[in-house]
Amino acid sequence: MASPTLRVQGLRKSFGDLQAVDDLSFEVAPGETFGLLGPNGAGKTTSISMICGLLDRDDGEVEVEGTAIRPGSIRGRELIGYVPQEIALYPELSGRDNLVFFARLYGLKGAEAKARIDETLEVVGLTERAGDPVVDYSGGMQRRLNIAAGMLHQPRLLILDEPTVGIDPQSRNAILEAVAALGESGMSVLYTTHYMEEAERLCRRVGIVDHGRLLALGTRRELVALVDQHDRITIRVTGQAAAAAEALHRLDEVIQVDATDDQTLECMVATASSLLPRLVGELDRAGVGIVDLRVAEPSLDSVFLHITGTALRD
Amino acid sequence: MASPAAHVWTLFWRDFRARLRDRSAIVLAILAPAALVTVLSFLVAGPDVQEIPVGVVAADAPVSEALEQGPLASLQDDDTLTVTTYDDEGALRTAVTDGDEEAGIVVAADGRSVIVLTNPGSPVAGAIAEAVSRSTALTVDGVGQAVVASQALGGSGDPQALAQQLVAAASPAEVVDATEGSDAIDPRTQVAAGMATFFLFFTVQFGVLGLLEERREGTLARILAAPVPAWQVLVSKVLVSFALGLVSMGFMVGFSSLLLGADWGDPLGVALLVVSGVTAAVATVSLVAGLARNPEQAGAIQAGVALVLGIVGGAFFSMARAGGAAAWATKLTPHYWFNEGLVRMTGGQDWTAVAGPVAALLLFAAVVGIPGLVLAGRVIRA
Repeated sequence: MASPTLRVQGLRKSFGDLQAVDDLSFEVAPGETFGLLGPNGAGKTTSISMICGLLDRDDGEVEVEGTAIRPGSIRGRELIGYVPQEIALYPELSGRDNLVFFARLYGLKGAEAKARIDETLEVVGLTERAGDPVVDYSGGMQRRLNIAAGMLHQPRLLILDEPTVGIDPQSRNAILEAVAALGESGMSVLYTTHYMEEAERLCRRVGIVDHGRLLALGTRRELVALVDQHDRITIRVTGQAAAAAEALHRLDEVIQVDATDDQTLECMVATASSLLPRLVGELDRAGVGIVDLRVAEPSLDSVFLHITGTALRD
Repeated sequence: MASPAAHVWTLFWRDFRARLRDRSAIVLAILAPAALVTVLSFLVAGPDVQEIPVGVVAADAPVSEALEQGPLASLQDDDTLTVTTYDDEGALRTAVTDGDEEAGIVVAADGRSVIVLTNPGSPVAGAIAEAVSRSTALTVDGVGQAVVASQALGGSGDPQALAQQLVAAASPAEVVDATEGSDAIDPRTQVAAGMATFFLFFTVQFGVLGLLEERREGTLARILAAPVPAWQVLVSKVLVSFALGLVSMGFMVGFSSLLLGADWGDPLGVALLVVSGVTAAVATVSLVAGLARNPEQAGAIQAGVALVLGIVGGAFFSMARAGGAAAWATKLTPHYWFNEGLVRMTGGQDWTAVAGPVAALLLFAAVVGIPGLVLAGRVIRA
């Protein structure tokens, strides 16, 4: 890995008897979108507060682009963009005035600030409503402006703490698209969520946390490999499923084939994407027509279930 | 990177503008004290005793001279009375009955009696006319006795001329009011000052206590995640409280002076008292912000503190004359020292007269404010 944008090493925090964060270590590479996945109360927000320098830590180190981030010091703060879980905006101000306020805190002013604000409003799709008071925005619009305020100064690392909590699917999708675009633009993103599908959709690597501990870390495939899960291919065929099953057994990568009815097969394979062309060819040679074919990769949900012994709770 | 001053200004201006648009802040800083002081000042000030029209019939020369050179002259000089001379009692009675004059004084031709005519609708004017007449009668009596004594001792001069000389030479002794509290400021100013300082302690909460609101709303964390040190946030909030306090006090001084006739005293002295009073109030609210856990708790504590300090400090009625613990306790409040500063400027004293009260206010601010700021700083970092 190139020199990481974010390096978190041995982070610990306790509140009385509660060990909120316990020896948390991970890195985020330049341009990477990294996910911290865990249920509410897992320690994600506490971890983020320490990473941003907002909360004293019991132990551990945080560096952003080699600059140590410490509570009580503003060194390196301009490298970080922070999007808190709550809507941390001033409702009486317009969307634009909110951004002007936060831009000034990062030293942006004049034409530069205006250009950044216009650009950011465009990214989050709020240009048309920029002059309206935030109190008149829908929940989704407020969430988008909340993100805009964090990315306004073009930080090297954008930290988003559950940015899609409590909003409608349309706004959620808009936010996920905006975050994906940020990742593609080269910005490093630390994204916390308790939604599996968001982590799977946005993040190259995911850290699974619960009870303050990092339980597993890796790409989705690496995590899936940890729990010995396989891709599942469901095929509806013309003709006899038994003949089709016999043909599929001839492929080494096929681990298991089950006929669920006369015309439907379920195959467990190691990697569906690389096998599919040969699988289709084999069925064709066996004279079996394909009516429908679906691939289901193992989900982080099953990984979480396997690692923690419980399903991901809200 | 923005300068510290730029950060503080950005934080201050956003909050200050929001507070000026906040109806509850306007009510507590401007409307409520203005309304209360208007009502109370009319209740405490009593009737207006300025330029009361009084008619005089002066039939006897020595007595009339005693009257016009004595109390009537001084009451005309300070614009308490406007005196008109009538030729006969009948014309004056008609004027009093018609309301052209609120009272009348008739000196009988023999100089032996002074008749007071009063209008039932103007009891104050009647009382003044009666007091003036009695005072004149005493003077005349004294002059008469002096003439008699002079003649008894073999004086050969004209008694009438002697009487006129005695009246002209009469120089009333200076009357000094030595009762306790006689140096108090006028009632309207006292009410205005009391209400201004009472509501000041409610007004200033909108700045510093905003720290707790911003912590709950998440904007404080967002600000601190930026390259903004905690002290700049605290300073900006203190400045918001301070500015709101100045706006409220400045308005009350101007409003009560221009519309209600309050006389606060030397402007520089008043300015020093206002600044030090606002400092004491901001110090108090800083301590409350540091002790409270949430905005609701802070608001309740601040309301209680403002109420207790206001009552004990004499915002509504003086506790200083109650004696004992009450008199001792009232001197621990900023309200007392603010009022004391105004009292010390009565009688034309300049701004230097407020040095003691200003020092007391600043001492209060230091004792309360320093731990308050330390604790409020912990709120920011929590």
